[in-house]
Amino acid sequence: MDARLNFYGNTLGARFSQQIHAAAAVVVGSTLPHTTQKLVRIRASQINGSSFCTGIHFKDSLRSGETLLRLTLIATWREASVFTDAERLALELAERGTRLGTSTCGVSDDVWAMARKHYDEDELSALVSQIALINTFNRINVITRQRAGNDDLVTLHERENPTAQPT
Amino acid sequence: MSARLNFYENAVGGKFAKHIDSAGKVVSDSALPRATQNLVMIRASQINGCSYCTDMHTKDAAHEGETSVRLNLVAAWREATVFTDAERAALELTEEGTRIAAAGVSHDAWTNASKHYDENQLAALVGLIALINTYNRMNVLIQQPAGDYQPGQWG
Repeated sequence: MDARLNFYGNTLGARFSQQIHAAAAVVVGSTLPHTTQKLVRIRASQINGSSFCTGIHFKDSLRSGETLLRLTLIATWREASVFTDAERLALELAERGTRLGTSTCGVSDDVWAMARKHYDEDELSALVSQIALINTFNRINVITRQRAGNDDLVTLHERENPTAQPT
Repeated sequence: MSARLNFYENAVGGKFAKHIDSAGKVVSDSALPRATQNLVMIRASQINGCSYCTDMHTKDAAHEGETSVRLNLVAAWREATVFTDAERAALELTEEGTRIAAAGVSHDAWTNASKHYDENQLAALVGLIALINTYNRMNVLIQQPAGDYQPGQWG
């Protein structure tokens, strides 16, 4: 089954994609730990049911040294002992920020206050950006039914480091 | 009332927002009718409970000539007689494309949209639905206060 629309191959889609990848680079270049960025991407992608995004970010995380145990437990992080307090807050924000319109909107004052203890303003801005942006990619890929699981799936690492060998 | 984070003035947030705005320009310059773009942005913002975006896009739409009857009925468009078939298709795609966590986007919604929009307009529609959901999250997470927006404020 092919994707419903060749979004990235379409001129407009490609130009649009260029800009949101530039936005992604801002997040990647921030001081928000990369491990945390990846946890957020995976959790949001799971909630949104995006195969393509879940696959690509899972693969990215493995290549960056994330453990299979932690990756397995992202979907059920609340009872897991393998995430730091800061990561748990990022995952809570990711869930709340992803599930708008389905439950309580946004993040409670208590959770926000705890997030402020673990993340400075730059990191929090990056976290807000990351949550918003993974939801962008999830929608493009879910609406157009981008397929996942291909052998030639290019990871973000490979896209950002075109001359580097895959690790 | 003020936002809980100075996101847009922050170095990271500001740079991020600039690229999101650029992505927005790709869509707003597209062949997708402007009136449809406004309806899409309003509907998604309502679903996501984003005050700032609902305020901004409702005011922009009114400023650009949208009628109050149609603006009032965006939230309950299915039984309304005031939208074209193409607009209804866009609104349906918007709702399903916003609520993707529920069940993705149905074959019917996509097929319907494909009847009314060519490939470029569909790409713009997909981009727009994705992007308004981005803005909604930025503004809801930081609790951006709403109500003071003036059309043309952002140039």
